[in-house]
Amino acid sequence: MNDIEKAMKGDSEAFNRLILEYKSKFYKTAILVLKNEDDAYDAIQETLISIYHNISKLNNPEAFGGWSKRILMNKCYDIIQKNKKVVDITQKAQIDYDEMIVDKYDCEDELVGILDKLDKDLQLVTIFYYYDEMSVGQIAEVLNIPEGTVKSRLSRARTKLYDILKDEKGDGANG
Amino acid sequence: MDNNDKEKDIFIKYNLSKHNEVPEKIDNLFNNFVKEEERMKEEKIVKEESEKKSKIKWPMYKKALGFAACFTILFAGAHIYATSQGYDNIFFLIKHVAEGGKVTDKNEILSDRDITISYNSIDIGKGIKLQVNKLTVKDNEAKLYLVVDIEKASEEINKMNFKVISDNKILCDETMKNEEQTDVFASRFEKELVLKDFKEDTKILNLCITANNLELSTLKINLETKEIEVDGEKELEKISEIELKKYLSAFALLDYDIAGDHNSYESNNERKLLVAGALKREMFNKANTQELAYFEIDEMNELVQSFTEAPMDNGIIKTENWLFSLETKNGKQYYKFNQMDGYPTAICLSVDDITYENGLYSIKYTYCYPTMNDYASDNIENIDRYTNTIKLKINTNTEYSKYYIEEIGIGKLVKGKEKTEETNNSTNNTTNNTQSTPTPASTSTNDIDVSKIDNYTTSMNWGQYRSAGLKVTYPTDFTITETTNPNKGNSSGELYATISGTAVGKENGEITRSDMTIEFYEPETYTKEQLDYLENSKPAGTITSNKTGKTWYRIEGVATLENSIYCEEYVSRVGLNREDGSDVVVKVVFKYSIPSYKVTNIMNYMLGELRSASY
Repeated sequence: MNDIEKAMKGDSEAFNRLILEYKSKFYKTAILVLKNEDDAYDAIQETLISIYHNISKLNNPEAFGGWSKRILMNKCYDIIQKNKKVVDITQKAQIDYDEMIVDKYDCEDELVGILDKLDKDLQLVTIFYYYDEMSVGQIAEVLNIPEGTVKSRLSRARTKLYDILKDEKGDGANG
Repeated sequence: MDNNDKEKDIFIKYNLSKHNEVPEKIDNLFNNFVKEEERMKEEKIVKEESEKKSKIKWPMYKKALGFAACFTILFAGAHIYATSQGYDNIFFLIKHVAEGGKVTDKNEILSDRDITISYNSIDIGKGIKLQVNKLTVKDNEAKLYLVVDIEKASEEINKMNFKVISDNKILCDETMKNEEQTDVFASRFEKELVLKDFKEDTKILNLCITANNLELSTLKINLETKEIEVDGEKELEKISEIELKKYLSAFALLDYDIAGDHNSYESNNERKLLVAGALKREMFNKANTQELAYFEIDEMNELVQSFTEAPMDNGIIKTENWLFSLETKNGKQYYKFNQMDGYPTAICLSVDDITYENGLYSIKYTYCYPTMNDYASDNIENIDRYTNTIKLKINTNTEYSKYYIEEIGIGKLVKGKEKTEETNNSTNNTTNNTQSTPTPASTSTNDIDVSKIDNYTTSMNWGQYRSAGLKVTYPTDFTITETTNPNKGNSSGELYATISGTAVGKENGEITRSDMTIEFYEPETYTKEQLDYLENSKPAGTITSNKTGKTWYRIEGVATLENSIYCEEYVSRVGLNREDGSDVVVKVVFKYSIPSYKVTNIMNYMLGELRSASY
């Protein structure tokens, strides 16, 4: 039985280990979307509370990664809505997560600095795939987009990101 | 995916995975959450246990309730049967049966008597006074003698009807005949009412008087004590003053001045929603903020219709404003109150007079519209108060408002704001500094009632403009220029919109025209020091709005002349209350060519209405 299963059954130690494991993953996603440390803090806190209260309702332990990421994305969305200067009364039925990435750059995170060089629609698939090591299927589920779209975005992101990282490392791309 | 792609993936993963630095704050969040989680778990266990206990107890309550319900039904049925058979209650019937008696209709032989009741006149409304002189019983016939005084003839008192009821039985039901109507208008007449089925032991008679099918009054006549009680007196006792005040506080919002427009269809409906929102909060004691923010449209309409007529367009108010918007969640439509901490509130300060007549409570009351600041600084005694008269009837068939508004007047200002010495000094200083500076209103510590100063202002049309950081009420004959697209978010502190026009007013009896622009700036952060300076020094021109609770500081001091343009710059906190003491402020700048009351009024009115939209 892994930590997710134990946490689902109410094992608090396993729950503690589990969330600590996701610490940087949650933070990088939140900071990428919100670009502000305070907001990221709020989003993560809300997410942890939500996970704590609902993990026992999770049916499939393997879904934890996508499920928790979806909660985080929704909390980020809530914060963006709260901070928005003009309230959009014609709320969209479906959230466009790519569009919700904040434009203003208000953090010093290096990873965000790298990913910000990518087109907006590539940033989330990139962090989910390369950093969180989520599968294409999971990403599609979290972002509510077809798997084909995820794949094509990853393909575009791969080429561009490779060049960016290579440039940053000078000629060290191959070793 | 070819090998080249795989290599790239490995390279990317490796390089990205190195960036796993997390700020100390986030680190602490995770570490503290682990501890906090333990505490939450304990709370959860306690809660679950208490829920289990309450579940165990519930079936016992159910049984007890079932028993009580059955017993009550049986008892009520038996009681009704007993009273229909002429007994006072079920116990007399049981006693009668126990003593071997049979349950039969009674045909009593009445003893003759002549009981003088009263020669005092009782006012029963519509200018009618009534004496209940006496009751006589002779030859088994009972009669009630009345004297009716009519001060002023009126069509309203046509077809007067007298109904005498005892023990739920109608003993007499008599309407004035046509030929008697002439006598009615002759101002005084006597009336004999024959009481059928009068019982030997009847002690109480209820005399109900109506005219044109509308109840005038019901008198409760006690034949033993010879006391007459006007029904309304008892009705007044039914009212809880505390509860009534809560309703009156909510109903006072029907008179709330929304956007300076008292007559528009939208404003009227918005006020009704304000009242409904207040009732939901006060009467139904909703503690959850989310619940307070969202009100389902159907429920709100039912609530609105429980206290007033609701001529809404299919239950939907189509305009958006700073108070509420329409939202759809899970296929249902909701009104959403946009500013949970900034919506208008009203308080009923006193119930000054209350009378009951014809099923209606007529109430004169005093109220005010405090802001959050007034609550916080306990300043409610010093703000404007109003008086109004309202006629209410009690709702019997709704779970919503207990009272239905039959009639409501227009609120009158009974006590202006207390202009303190400080204010007067401030005004004098201003005058000394610059002779042509617009005076009293801009130096007041409260926003002013523009209607008291310049009729021109009240006759203006005010529109709503929503943009970055602010919701603005502005004169509709002014034009708005957005400097850049406010939705995209300009840089902090940048100008984003300008409202411009000509303020036409009267100054010393002469028409004045002043070019006027009002500039709105992007929210920007002020440090603790900057805020302390403003708030502690309270520069002249500081205005606290009664409507929004916001305090506006005139950071440019008294109006300054820049290239023949007067300029006044105001800022106000948005209230983030950050730990380091800094806060975001919104800024508005007024520029005008000729100072006048009109200009001052526009400034004050707009500042009084301005709300931050985003925080």
